[in-house]
Amino acid sequence: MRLVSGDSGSEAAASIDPSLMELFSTNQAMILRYLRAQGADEHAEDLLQELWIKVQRAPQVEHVSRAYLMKMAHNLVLDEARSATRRKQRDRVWHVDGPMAIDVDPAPDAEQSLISRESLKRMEDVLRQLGPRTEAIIRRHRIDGVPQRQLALEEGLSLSAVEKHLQKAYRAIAQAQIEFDVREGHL
Amino acid sequence: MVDHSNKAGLDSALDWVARMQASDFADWEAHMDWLEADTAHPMLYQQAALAMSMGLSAFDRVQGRDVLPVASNVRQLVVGNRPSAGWWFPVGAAIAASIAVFAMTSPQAVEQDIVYKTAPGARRDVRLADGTSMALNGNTVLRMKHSAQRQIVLERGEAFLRVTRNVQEPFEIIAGGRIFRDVGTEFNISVDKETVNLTVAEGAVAVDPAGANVRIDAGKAMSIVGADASIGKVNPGNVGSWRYGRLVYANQSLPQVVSDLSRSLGVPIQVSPDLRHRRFTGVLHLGAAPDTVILRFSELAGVSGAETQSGWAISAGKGHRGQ
Repeated sequence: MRLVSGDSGSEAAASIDPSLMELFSTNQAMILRYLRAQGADEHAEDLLQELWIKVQRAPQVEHVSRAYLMKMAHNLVLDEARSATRRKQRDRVWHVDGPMAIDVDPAPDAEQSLISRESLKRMEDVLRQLGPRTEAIIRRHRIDGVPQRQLALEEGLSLSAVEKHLQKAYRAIAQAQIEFDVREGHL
Repeated sequence: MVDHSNKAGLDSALDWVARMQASDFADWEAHMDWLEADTAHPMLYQQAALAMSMGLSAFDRVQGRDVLPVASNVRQLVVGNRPSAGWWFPVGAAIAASIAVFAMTSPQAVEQDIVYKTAPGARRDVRLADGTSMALNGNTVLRMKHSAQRQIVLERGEAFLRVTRNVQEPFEIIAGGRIFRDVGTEFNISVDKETVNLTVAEGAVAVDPAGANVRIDAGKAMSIVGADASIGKVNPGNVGSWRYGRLVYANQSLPQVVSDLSRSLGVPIQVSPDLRHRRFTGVLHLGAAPDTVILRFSELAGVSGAETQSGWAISAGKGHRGQ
């Protein structure tokens, strides 16, 4: 598949980072495999094209690597999944309210903040059940933005021990959200 | 439609989602093998990843600095009981709302922050653009954005602040994942590991302003350890007394005193766990050499202080005069 630059014109062509292009070409097969593994099927090539455009437009990252490209591909897959879910929700709302419904946004502002408060309470419970250390680590990392290395120093733990605490927290958050969505019939 | 009877598949999907948050994740081959192993896996993975993203978004918010509602009972707090529910926490200025599962933080984002740091045992005075003055104790890290200097993060350490009044833009300090809003003017705040200590000299500080909104007035102190908070009294004249070489305590937790001492002297001091419920009352003068101060403290407190390779260790037992 030929990689096409995001903008037309020779001016844009000149500004493409050759090393970026080379990295992309080298890993193209792997990225395609990944997109297909995630269920993209016939759309895999289109998504690859979209990824190429995004990567060119992304802010300068210090070290562009295969891992970086795969992460971007991963994010793209999730964006698609998210849009698909929203579309389904809108369709559902439309059918429920009948063809005269004007507001197809399933979550108007007032309701959104109510939902937010509830979800905060839930997540608060999840964090507390993790135990004080794990709770402290995930808060410091996600809310205060303290990097893992520094947390390792502060907590007197190895980097991998900090990672394990974080993983435990992420998993619990995801699980709690899924359980909630199942109970509420969102899934 | 997700098949929720596929528990094993969902469990492995959750494991993958958690693992892939690691900044150095590189196990893509294994991940793809797993995705391809079962037609249900891609959908399960995406559901789990979106769920995690949704769950995390409860904490992250970029628009405005909403502080999230509190589940704890304020009455419980004021009476001094240990609240059973936890505290909410604010949005970190440095965190962008993650739409994607991976937060792609670019190095540039960090460069935009102003960071004030002190080495252990050192002190530093800072004056902000709005006239607010801060005295930083040793081993302290304070961070703020160029564009938003009325909200600062105390990552660790201790600071005494005299805040310039501005009703339009209240001054807030974030410590231990909680917001402390100045309601004019002088207070001291310290953070280490799980503990946040606030003492107010003048005016008041609102803790968790958009949530529990607990007001700590001059002459009061709040101590937060993990999810438990308690309120006590303090002599306004002693707030931030470390600035002039004095630490004054009335029935304070001994490990907390040692922690303050360690920070102010710039010397690592360990406390033996069996002292964790001990209390201390007294005045410590920081003017002498650290060794002298620590030994004097040990005597006053009726504990034993011994030098170690990296610093000092305090344990139970009578204090000795000299070694």
